[in-house]
Amino acid sequence: MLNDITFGQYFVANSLIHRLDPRCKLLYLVYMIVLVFLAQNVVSLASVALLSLTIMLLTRIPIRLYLKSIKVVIPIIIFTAVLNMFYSSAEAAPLVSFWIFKIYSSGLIRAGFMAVRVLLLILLSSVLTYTTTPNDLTDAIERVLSPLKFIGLGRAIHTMSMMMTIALRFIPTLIDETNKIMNAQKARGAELDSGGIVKKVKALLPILIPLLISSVRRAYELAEAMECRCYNGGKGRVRMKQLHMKARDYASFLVISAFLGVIIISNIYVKIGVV
Amino acid sequence: MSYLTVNNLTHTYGEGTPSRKVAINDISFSLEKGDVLGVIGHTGSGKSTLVTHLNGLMKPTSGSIILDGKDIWEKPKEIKNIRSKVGLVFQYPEYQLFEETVYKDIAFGPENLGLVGTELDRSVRSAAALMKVQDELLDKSPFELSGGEKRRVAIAGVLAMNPDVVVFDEPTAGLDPIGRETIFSAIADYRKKNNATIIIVSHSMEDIAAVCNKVLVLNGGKVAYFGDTRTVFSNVSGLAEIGLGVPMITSLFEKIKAKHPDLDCSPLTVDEALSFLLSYLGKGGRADA
Amino acid sequence: MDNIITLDKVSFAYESEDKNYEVLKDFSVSFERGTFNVVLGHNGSGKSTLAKLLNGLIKPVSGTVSVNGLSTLDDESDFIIKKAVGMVFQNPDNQLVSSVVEEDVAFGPENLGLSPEEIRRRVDNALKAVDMYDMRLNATHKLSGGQKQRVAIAGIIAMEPECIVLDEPTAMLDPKGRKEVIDTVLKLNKEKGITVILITHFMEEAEFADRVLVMSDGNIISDGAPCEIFSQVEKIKSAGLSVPQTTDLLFKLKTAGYNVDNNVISADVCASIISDLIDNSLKK
Repeated sequence: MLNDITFGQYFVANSLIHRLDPRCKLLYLVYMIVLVFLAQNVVSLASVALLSLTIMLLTRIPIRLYLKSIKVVIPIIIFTAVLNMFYSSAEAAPLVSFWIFKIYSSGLIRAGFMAVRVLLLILLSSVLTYTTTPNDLTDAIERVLSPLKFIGLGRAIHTMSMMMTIALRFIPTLIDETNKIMNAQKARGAELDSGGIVKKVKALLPILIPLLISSVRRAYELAEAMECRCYNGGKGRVRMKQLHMKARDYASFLVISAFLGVIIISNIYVKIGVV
Repeated sequence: MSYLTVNNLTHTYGEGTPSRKVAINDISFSLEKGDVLGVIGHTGSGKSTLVTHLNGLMKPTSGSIILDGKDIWEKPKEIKNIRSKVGLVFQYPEYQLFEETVYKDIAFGPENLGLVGTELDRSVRSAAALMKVQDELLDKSPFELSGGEKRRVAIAGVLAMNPDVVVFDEPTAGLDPIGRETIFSAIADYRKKNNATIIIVSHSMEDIAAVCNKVLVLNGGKVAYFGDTRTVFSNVSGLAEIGLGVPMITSLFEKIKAKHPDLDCSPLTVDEALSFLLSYLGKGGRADA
Repeated sequence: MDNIITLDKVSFAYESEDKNYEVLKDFSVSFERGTFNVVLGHNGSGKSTLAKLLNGLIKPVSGTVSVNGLSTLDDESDFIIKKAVGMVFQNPDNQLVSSVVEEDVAFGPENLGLSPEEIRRRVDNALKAVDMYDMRLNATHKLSGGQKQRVAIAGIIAMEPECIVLDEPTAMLDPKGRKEVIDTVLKLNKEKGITVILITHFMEEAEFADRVLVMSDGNIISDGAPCEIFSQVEKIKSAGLSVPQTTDLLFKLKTAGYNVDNNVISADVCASIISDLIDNSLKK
């Protein structure tokens, strides 16, 4: 199961999306999220979905990998959708009704919208992390947030981005390690997948404790190694990769901005499938 | 009849996907009680996949593992019982320690098998003694111990389950010579005491030559050689072709034989080489007398 | 003699709840600029403590460690010393900061505040020096142990240090990875003149050193050229180390009364010594 987690990983390829300025990509993600929630009818949501799909295809990363990133969050999507299904203020007669539950057509539409929105959020975030190296990404976050240094948060921003770099670097290592420890404890007769809740939680200790201890040890050793490489909290640090906006970044900005118009116009004029 | 038989064992990862990969392919070999098998091969040759099959942590795609006359997957629901018979010591086993005390950690395995009371106590203490874990360490936290001590406690945790077959994946990785020596002699003691079958995965040809009576060489997921240690290590050029060596002393004699083709000796250990040379040089008579 | 690092009467102790572990006491040693030094010792001999003292990662309780004449006790010099003496550790997984090879190598130079062009130049050169340039865009966690360790070395040499300290860099590697790392370090010493201090318990790795030091219980028990050290088989074994089979065999032949040189490791040299021995005995 742990091997299914692809969210947050970078995949090497040389696509247009890979080459975009990471700061732009980060802002686009925020922008796309806004669009996803602005889209209030079938046409506008479909056009945002189409735009998202086009972007995914442009990354040249197999769709299979995107599907993998969704797999883990399917329960959350179903949960949100079901919750939305029952929630409705419609006055029309319910489509189905049993006991205290009543399902209205507007509730179904709302559930569908919610599912598509969550799905798009995950997919669009995946596009960002799949096509941007973790360092570029944290660098972009650091730079996008850099105006905050004028209110004395410069150090905090650097620390946060360093923490993200390291977290992303160690995710695969810790996943491997978890698998190894699970196998080792199973070899000692540990039963990880049977019994009631209390027994299951107790059965996790032989995995969590070694994992915690090894993480602390790794953190300690990494800190020493970083100190040896003249790291002193980011003071006077210059990045090798400087970011420069290029023609493709400006062009992509124009394309993606045009969509805001599409959404607003369709929200005003299209009256089918409105939430 | 042999005690442990592996028949045409094959395991394929990601069957039916583009990333399909055959990790081990048609592996067969058999071992008697008391055998010590050395498994050698490059990183990625399938060694880890093979050893995790032996105690049922992985299920073969095809082929079978026969232990004491029974297919271990005969009743898939009872696969956990096999873990009491085949112990598996992973690489860097000290990273699996988790209990408050050394004693409790060693007891974790046998407790999972259902041992209680004096029987449990006996198995913990005898495994600890075998691995040279002194009594005064038993009440300490495993995290206070030195690297070598932790390793021995972790191995004791597997031996306390009293397995008939014990698989060691690189048991001495990262240890210094004294630590290596202690572990190998404890493994030998366990084998003698229980007439157990031992399987050791190692990169050190010298260690394999010194402790194993049989050797399995894996290359690209397939068996390249299997047989008694001397026979396998006589394939000097064949092993070199797949990028593996022979013990340093064996290859030294290959070099000497290039100049003295009449020299009839392929030693596996320094002592063997020495006694041959002494007798060849004409002092052997005195040494033998 | 032009020494890059000098330890003068250094003592160091680890404090724990109930007692002090004194690891080194009145320990003095110097390392000459441009040389390849190997420090051999068993676990707990104090060799890792020595490594960490060399660039000021830990500070002596008494005595001084000086790098290019600057004391590690002086906080002002800390940055200059860490820049001059790079350090590579045992576990390749725990010293890589970034998920991408070239970005990891850039981490050190970035901390030095160089211009982006200069960082790029150094990263490319460092990756070429360890033969990892073609893999510069790969993910670090997918590399083999030997490759990870070479990336770690590149990360250090990209800071253009005068000296590299390697603390058991091969202990967790397979024979192939071990050879990759040792060959890389040798090349850096010969071609770039970087002073190397390699700490290990594999005596084979000392074969091409300029100087070998053997440590036991916090003391240097042997110090000299490899050929002087390798003949002291009993002393090495008493320090809890093992000797390569070739050296062991020659030592045993000598003990048995044969007149052989027993200060070699190389199988080729050993083979010719034994061949000569056989030739001579046949002539008689």
